[in-house]
Amino acid sequence: MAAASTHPALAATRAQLGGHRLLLVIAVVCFLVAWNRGINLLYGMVALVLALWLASWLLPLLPLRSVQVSARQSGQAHANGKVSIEYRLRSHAPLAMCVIEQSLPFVSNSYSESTDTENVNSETTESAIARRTLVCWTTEDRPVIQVATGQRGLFELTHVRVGCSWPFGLKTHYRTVPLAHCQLLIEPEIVPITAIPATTAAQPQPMAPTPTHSSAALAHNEYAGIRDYRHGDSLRHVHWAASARHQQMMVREFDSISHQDFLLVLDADPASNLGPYPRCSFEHSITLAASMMHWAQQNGVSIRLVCGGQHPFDVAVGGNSRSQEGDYLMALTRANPWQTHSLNVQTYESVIGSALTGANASTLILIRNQSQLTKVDVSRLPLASGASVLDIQLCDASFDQPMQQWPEGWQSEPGTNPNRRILKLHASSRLQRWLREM
Amino acid sequence: MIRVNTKRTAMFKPLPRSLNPFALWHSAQFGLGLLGAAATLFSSTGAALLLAMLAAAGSYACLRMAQTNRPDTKQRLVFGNAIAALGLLCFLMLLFTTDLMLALMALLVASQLALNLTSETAQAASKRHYVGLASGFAALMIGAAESTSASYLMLMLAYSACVCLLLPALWRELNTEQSAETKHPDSAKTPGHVGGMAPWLPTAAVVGLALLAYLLLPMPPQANIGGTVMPLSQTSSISNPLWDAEAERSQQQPADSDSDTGKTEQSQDEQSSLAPKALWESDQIPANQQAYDYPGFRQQFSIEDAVDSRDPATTSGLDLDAVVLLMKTSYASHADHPQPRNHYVKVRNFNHFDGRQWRTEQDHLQKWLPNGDGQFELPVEHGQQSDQGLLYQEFTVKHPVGAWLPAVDTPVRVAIAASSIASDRWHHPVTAEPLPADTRYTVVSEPQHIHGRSISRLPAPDANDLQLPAKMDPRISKLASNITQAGRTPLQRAEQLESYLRENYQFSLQSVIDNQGNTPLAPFLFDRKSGHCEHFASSMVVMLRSLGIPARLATGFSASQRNPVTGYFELRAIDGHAWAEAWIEGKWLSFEPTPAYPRPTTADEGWFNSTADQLNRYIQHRSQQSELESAQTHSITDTLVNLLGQLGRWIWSALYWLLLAPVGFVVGRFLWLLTNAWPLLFVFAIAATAGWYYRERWLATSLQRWIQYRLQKRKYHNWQEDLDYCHRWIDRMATLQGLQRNTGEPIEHWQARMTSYAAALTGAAPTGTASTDATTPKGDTSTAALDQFCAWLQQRWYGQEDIEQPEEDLPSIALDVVDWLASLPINTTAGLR
Repeated sequence: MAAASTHPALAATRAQLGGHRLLLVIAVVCFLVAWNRGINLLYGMVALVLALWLASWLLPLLPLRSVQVSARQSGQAHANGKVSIEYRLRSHAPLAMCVIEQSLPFVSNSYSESTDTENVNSETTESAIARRTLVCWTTEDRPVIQVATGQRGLFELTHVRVGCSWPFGLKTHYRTVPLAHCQLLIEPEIVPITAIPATTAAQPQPMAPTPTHSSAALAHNEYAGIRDYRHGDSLRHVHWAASARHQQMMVREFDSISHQDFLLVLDADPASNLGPYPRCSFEHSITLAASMMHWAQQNGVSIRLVCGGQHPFDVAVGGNSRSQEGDYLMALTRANPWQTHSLNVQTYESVIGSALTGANASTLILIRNQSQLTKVDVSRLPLASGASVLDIQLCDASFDQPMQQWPEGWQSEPGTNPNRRILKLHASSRLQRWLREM
Repeated sequence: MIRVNTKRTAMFKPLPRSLNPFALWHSAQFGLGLLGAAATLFSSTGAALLLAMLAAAGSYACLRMAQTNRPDTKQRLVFGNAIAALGLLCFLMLLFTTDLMLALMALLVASQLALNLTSETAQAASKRHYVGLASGFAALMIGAAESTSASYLMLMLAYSACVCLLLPALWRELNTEQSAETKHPDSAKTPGHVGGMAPWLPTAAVVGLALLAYLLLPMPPQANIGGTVMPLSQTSSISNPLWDAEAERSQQQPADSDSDTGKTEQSQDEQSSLAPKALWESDQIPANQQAYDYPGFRQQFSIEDAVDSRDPATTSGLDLDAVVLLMKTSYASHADHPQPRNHYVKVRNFNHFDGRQWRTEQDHLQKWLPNGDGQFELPVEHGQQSDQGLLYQEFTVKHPVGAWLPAVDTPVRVAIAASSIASDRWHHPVTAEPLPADTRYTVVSEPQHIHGRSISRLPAPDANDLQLPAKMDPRISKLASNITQAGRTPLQRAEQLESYLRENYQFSLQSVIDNQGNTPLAPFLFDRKSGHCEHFASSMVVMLRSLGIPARLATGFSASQRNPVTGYFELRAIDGHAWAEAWIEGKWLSFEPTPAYPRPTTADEGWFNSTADQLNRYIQHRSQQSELESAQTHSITDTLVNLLGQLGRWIWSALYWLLLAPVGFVVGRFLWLLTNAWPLLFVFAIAATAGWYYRERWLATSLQRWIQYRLQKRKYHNWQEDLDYCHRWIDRMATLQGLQRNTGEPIEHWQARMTSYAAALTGAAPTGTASTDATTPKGDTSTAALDQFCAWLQQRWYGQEDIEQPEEDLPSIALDVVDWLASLPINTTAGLR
């Protein structure tokens, strides 16, 4: 609701003289008139106004004294999307003319500019306040507050403010009600990509079957058996007969002839994290990783994700992996780069080296800043023979000046390894444009 | 499973869907406010009711039109403009033809209807409706200012009930669009019971609180800042061409006031021929005039004609309880002297007594024309200026009264809708015609008091004021001499007579008529020793005259009790009174020989008395009057009525003495403190404000020292209790920063909040995400005590009781935590407010 621009003095006067305070002013004026003119009946008006003021001040406290509320997240939530919080009244008496005010420990979806690049990792998140006004709230109602999310993470809501202005709506009393076990899981933003292009010398080719699977494409896959359904599996692979026999969803499993294993390593070095949070380079790489993992899960492609930082993880989807979608999403949600002052910071190169050890990934996907290119020598990485590298390079300056035009796109540098493809992106790049079938 | 009390819910069925509650209550409150204003401005209650109903219906129709035709703003704008234009036209017409207040009423109605119609959005319409509330409130206030009836309180209570029902509906209109749908989207849904309270209880609570507040509210004396405004000149409703001509002549030839005696004799016949005939002598008497006649208002006054209020044969329909006049008094300026609680409202003076009848000898009427302000200036005897300033009296005639205008001595100015008035030989105002009901007039008087008695600035006495009846019983003179043996001065003798009559005779409304030829005074004084005011006053006047003290009889009303609700003195028929005036020390002093009436007093009401106190006095006064009237019941109905009245008085007495009087006493003393000890309170308020403003400088230190004292003072003996004790005090210290532990909050969360707060203040870099991970890394040495304390709390929280900790460390750890918290700056937004 957009508010019309008003004079600051008028706005301040309105704020101070609203509702019940105006009643006091009226009562004082009536009293002065009654006293000056000796009009006894006006004292009755004074009494009426004072009674209304007193009742509007005291009565809202009654229903609030025993209010109990519980809350839970309703549905999935992703960064730069919306999170729904569902509330439930646990008190036996209904609540009328109430307002639910939730203080959210994360920023809303608004870009905040910061020129202080030195403290990009230390920017404190602003808390948002979401409000919902209800005419009546009974134990059967489940009011929902939807809030735009600007960041991912696992948040815990410890309390909610419940206000009540019953019965006259002149004064709203608030009470902070503790919430038990209410966690908000805001998963990383997932961009719907269609493919991870191949890294052959000729031209990029899809390295895995496209989402629109054709029989020809499937012919390249060898039937490997059936297994139980996991969240994210395509419904096209459901084996209905087996499902009927086993009384649970069963899917066909394929071993792809041209089976590709992807290894995606994220850079959690704090020096690589540029830009103001939550639009920093690390969050961008998280979004990239989540999108790729999601695509891989949807298409049965094997991809392994490794990340260092405060909460290092190593998850995989697709192939023979038994990981579910929630595993990598949870890992990505909790992923944090190293603290600036942390000791024993693992370098990106060492994380890559550790991830490549004992792994036979056919394609290594790197996501790093252009300023950090020298820190990792791709040619010296212990890649398997024939393995290719998809080098996604993020433009550093674009995270400080996102409104400017920055170059993006696939790039082949002369003299580089033909198995190495470079994709240059910036802070505002549309991933769907580049991560698709060529 | 929630059990719904269907029986209780069924009692309060929602309104039919055809009736929009918001529009209904909004229109009702506007109509009630308008009814209050119109009822006081219009002479006809029916017309006022009709206007109010029409306005309410129109308002409802406009609101519903706006609600249902909300998309069609153009049509509503046209209607609204038309109504506004019509209202303006009515305002101008009424302004030039009738009264300003009526014109304003018309404009108010039209503007309210136009406002209801024109609205662009639902929210804008809803906010404008608060303006509609102001219109109804303003109309109600206008009515309250003009009303003279206590029943206006009922209208105000009804209005408040409407507003109590309107406000929730208004809130719902304002917030329905803001509140998104729930699983049971029903914007009209209201819970039957909220917080365990029935839906009608808020309205009842407001009405009850209003009554209580009204009873406990002190009513200070009128401040009258800016002076009293005399009414504007009114269109003359009383006119007499002969009087007008005579007044013009006398203005062109000013009368010589020193030779009024000769001129009086010469012109008495002439004046009498021009003076209006007494009502009871005229054939123009209205048919029901005698129903409101009362002894004392006649040209002649006979104590034989005293009626027995209980005997229908003598009363001839007279209702002693009927309100004859309403009087409102105010002083022109805030005088230093206290304002009297009661007044004598004089009508006539009588100077000749023949043993049975009083009459006025050598009376004459001098005519007067109004001055430039439309007011009549009355002649006043030279004398000392009033020590209390001017007293304004606004009279409202409820039942027709005679031509002599009731007024408090000494009247100096009169404002009345008449082309001319007259003044009798004692300068009392007289009109050419009797005053009909609903007549309003204002009198300005210069009251004076000496020795606690009111003074009448009347001409000096003459021989008539020492006249005694020809065949007066000699015992009367002897009695007067015996009573006043000890008195040396005329004042003392008069006071002795007054006291003797008050103490040795009883007041009774039962007539005392002696038909055997003796003077009526003798049976009263020597036989029955009971009578009413005329007997007492006549006796005193006769006895004073027998002692050689000039005296005369005064009749009128005793205004001794003000209605606390309306603030008006209600002058009833039973308040008709007679008293004595004696010429003492060069002044006419009033004396009150009748025991049932209060002596003249200058004691004021004070403004620390609550309405309940005034109401209690009023009820007692009315109760005494009722007892006098109904000494003998006539029917079962009267008995029942009396019993109910008595029951009501008992209930009132219980409520008054158990609740209202104690609370009113406290409120009164508080106000006394405010008015008399205000310098101390002023200093205290400044100190408190300064202390609050600079609380950051001293509050934390003071609280820290107090908590340290409490922690050190305790004798630690039980680990669990000691830990809880320290926890409570640390929590109190944490309130300064808004870091108190929430109910049910895990210890680690609480600890994390405190450390994060401290880190943010000290400039430590928090993490890039806001993940509230419970495993916050520890290690900051400045919070080592906090860590230790929280570790103990966690053990207690999770029930790990077997961890051994040296108890002697607990106080020191707790003190360290308190010191650490005290070192943090106060959070003025989230902490101490």
